Amino acid sequence: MPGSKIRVLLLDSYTTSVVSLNCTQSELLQHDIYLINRIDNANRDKMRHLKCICYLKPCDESINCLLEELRNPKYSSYELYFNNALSKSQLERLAESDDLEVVTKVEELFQDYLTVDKTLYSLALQAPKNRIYGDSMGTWQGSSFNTCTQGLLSLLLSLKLKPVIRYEANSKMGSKLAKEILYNVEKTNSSLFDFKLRDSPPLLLILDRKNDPITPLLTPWTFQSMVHELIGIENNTVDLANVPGISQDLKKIVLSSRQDKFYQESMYLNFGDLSDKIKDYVSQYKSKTKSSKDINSIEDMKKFIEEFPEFKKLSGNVSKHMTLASELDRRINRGRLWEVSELEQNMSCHDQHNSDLQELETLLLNRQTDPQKQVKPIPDDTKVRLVAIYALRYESNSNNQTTRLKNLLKEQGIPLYKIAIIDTLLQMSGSRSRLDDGQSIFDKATSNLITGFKTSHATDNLFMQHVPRLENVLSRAARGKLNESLYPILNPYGSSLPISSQDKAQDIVVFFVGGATYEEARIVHSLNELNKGIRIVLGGTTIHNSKSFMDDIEDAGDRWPKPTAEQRLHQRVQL
Amino acid sequence: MKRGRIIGAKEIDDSASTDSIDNVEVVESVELQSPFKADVLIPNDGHNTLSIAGDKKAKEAEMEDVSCPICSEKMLSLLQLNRHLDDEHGFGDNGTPTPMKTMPRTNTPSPLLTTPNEELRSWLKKTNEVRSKIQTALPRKFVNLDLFDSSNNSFSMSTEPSGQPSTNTTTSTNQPEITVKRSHWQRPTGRDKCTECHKTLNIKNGLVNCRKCGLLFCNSHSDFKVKLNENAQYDHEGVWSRCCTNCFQGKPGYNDYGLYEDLTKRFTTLRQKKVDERDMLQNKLEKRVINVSTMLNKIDREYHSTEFNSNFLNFRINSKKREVEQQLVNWEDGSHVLNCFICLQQFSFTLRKHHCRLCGRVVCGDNQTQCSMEIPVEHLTTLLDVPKVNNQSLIRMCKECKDCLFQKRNFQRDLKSPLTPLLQKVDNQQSIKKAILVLMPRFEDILKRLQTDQNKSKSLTQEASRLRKRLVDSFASFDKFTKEIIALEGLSKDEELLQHAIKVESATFIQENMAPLKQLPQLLHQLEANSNNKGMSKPKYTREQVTMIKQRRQELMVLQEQRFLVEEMVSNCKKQRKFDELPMLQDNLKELNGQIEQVQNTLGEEGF
Repeated sequence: MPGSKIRVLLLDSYTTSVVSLNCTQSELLQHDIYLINRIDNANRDKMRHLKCICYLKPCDESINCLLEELRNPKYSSYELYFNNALSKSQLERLAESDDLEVVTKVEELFQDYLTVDKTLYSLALQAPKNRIYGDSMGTWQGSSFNTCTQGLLSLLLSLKLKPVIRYEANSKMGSKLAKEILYNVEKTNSSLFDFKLRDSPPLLLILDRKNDPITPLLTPWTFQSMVHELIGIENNTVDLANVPGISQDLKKIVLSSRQDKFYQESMYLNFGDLSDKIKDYVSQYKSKTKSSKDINSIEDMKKFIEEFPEFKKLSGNVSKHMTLASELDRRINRGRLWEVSELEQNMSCHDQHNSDLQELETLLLNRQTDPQKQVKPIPDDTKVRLVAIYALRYESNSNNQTTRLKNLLKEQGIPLYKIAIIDTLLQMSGSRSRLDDGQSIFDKATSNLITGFKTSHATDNLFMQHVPRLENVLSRAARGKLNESLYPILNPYGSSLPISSQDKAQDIVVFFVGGATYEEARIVHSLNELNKGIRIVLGGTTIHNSKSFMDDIEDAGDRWPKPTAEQRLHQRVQL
Repeated sequence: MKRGRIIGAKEIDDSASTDSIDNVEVVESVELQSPFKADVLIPNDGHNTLSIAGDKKAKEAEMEDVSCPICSEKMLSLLQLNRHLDDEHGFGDNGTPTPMKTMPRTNTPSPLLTTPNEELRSWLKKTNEVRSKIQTALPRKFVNLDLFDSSNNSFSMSTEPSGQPSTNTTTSTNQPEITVKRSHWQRPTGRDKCTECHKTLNIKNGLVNCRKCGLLFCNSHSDFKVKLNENAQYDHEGVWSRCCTNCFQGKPGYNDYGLYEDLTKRFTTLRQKKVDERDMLQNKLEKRVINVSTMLNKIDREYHSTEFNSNFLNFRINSKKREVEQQLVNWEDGSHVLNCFICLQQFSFTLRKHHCRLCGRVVCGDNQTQCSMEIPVEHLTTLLDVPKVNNQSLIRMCKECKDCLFQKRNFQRDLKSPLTPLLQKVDNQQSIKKAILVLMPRFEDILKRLQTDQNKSKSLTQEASRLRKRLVDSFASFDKFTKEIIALEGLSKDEELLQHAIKVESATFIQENMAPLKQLPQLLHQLEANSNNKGMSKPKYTREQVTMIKQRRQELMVLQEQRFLVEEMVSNCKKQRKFDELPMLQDNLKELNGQIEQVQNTLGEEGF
């Protein structure tokens, strides 16, 4: 029977991003996949000589498209792969539609999440399209809750972990998610979770963003985080279309540590080290161009041609990173981030209310420090961000000036809905709402040498003094020092394997309700490097930069009921 | 001090096994290298407790019950304890044995006391504040700091799992039930190297046996823990034991991920039921078609033979036919049916009710929805491949029956239809590609052997040039097909996408795979110079001429290959609008063309 070896890959909107994060076009080509199409695209041509591979999320939308496809097949045979568990009725419906017996394989592959990096995953839930916060504080949006449960379950399955689940006692969302996961691990999917026991049971640690609102608000200074903060990374691609004078092929660039060695080496470097590294890279490129310029003999030419593809790749990469770095630099200067970040770090790590307030006002009012040079005022968003950090930092200070600062923002014509973010943040994660585990989130980097768990920080860097709370939580989790009353334990093993809070996990999966940050990803990366005995994977509902975080808060605060006068009074009294 | 001494001595038995070192402090300095081990030894003397805890900024301040661990004398503060230890138990500067000084850590006790840093001072203050009742359980509490499980908190588990009570008379009430065997341990010889980093092992950087594989490692490369049973095998019910990187990462399931669940079986069993049903239905319908067509045929023949044509007869024929049709299937009672069961339109004066002759259901005859249509019997029987009936009468059938009868047939017919020109070419191209990929490793292997082989054996070179020729031919036809594919026009939208993908893929394939081909001519060049041209029998040329022609030909081949490559690159550059690289390439091309012409001229009629 005539049939081509060429294969078609059909994806849905969700798996398209999963696949694009995980492999390149040429990798697909190597597996004879020459055509990639969307299953919801009804205008595909009938090519009944080609074999088809479907990789889909088992959601109603995709299943319905697939049913239609099977009833009227456009290709000769189908292999169906789903990235999460298929329900019984879905399987039945598929079987009933396959009149022509075109399906040759049905498989669940469990990868219902986006792998951003080796140790970082995301569920890409972000307001307003996929908001996670419900209509009052501490509640979930139903659909997002399901996505989180399914995504986390598929993550655990793909890593073959049957974890002990711990969450933060003060987080309603965390506890709901934890219990749902436990229920699924114990009941619904118990046959799938029948893994071999490990030496120490793995740990799923569900954290709530509200316990550390500071980290996403601060300006980061490492390569990956900066690109996300200043330009924005989406599915490992960066949109540079707004950069003035950008060339056509650099409008959309891919930043993947798997494909780009230079990026892999430099993604966690701070801005200073990064510029050195790029300098090296450019000089390396220069020396190569030089050698390729003087082609005199056939020998030279041969060498040049052999090296040419490599050379072309290098030149593309060099210009990519050069553009990126210079764009970062441009945006830093435009946003006056050196000054802003210094103040942020001062506020977050030191307790100097008066000088911080003074500095803050200088920036807000754009008082000119140097009469020779007129500087532009900082952007509105940055102003709100600074006041938000101030409000969180000095919430309990007797001389707190948040109200005055908010009025000041109002006078400058900043829209009220933006200023409301500050209130929502205080309401959501003010000092009373945060988990009191004896560890301040306003923590300074120290080179701690904790027994059995190594961390490393450049303590002398003015702009990177603050350390995300995550590091401390992880170091305690690794040493079995998480308090059981603050981090309750849910044990899927039941009485067969009693778990105590002193157990030290060797595999930790962290999930941030409310989004993780690249800065935390960097921390996790360095912890993994330093502590070979422990493996940590980080993820969250999304990966935030300050803007997306504030948008999330704004969207949620908009819908949450405002605290009544009574509640506000109560709050005051408690303070 | 007793306890510390015993354990220290045991550690030496474990790792050094020689009696040359019997100094407790020496062992302690070893242990200090690894943070968690230091904690294990804390109960041995309060001295280390001090220096290490100082580092940790007194995180476990509540545990500080200050009494001398040696003589159990109560102390007011750690400062006092420290001095007491120095004076009474000889831990001071003069009492400290020499190895203490070579410790990499700077905070040996005495410097700590003489120049206490800020941290330590504040810490000492704190400990005084939180000091509670003196408890005798001091050692136990410190052991909890250990990274190992509290269930194994006797000292023996990290230093010596098999600690027998013969010497260990003091405490160790918590003897572990499992003792990991040690017979497989590598015995230290005194000049051992870490199996992983190959550093010479000594007491300072550790001399540790991996409890699993038994090999010797330095401290930092044995800083992992797994659970082992008595036979030093992985066992999640065993005891925590120290091990090396390899044994840690080699434990079963360590790198095991990517779960998939094959549902094909469940799917096919579910499907089988449906498919059987469908096949049965199809059979039934086919039979009905045959019956209807033969019956209709019979009626027609009966009446046509009379050759008497009138309206009345037509009516008779039609009613007769209807009778026959109704005999075959029960017609649904149309009086209660309000909507067509396929398109759900309401029947009306304009939308009449019809009966499907194969299933008997009421269906509309709307031409737009094509819920039912009338098909000539003759046509039907040809399509269905049943005994042919030459009859012009029409049979009405609904869409569902039609799909059931024809969908599978059509699908299979499509599968059997010949490939489109594009797919055909692509398939040819792909099979050539496969062949190249098979030949390539063989060729590379021979090349490698040629490079290393000093004898330059003749058969090898012949084999190499033979393979090379085949490869060059393959590349040529690969390129031919690629060009044909690119040239194809009038394709559908998806085929155009396919065409583009092939174009991209072929370009990279050629770029990546043609490099080794270029190496052979150089090699042969050298070989040819040495060879004695025995095989040459053409009288037309002298040996020298033949060699020259051969050389030139090879040169020409190389040049042409390169020209091909450069042309490819030029077109790539143009496509990607990388004009900055273009001039360089074009210069190259010009030069190459010149060279080729030159060589071709010298070759004259002996060229290709």
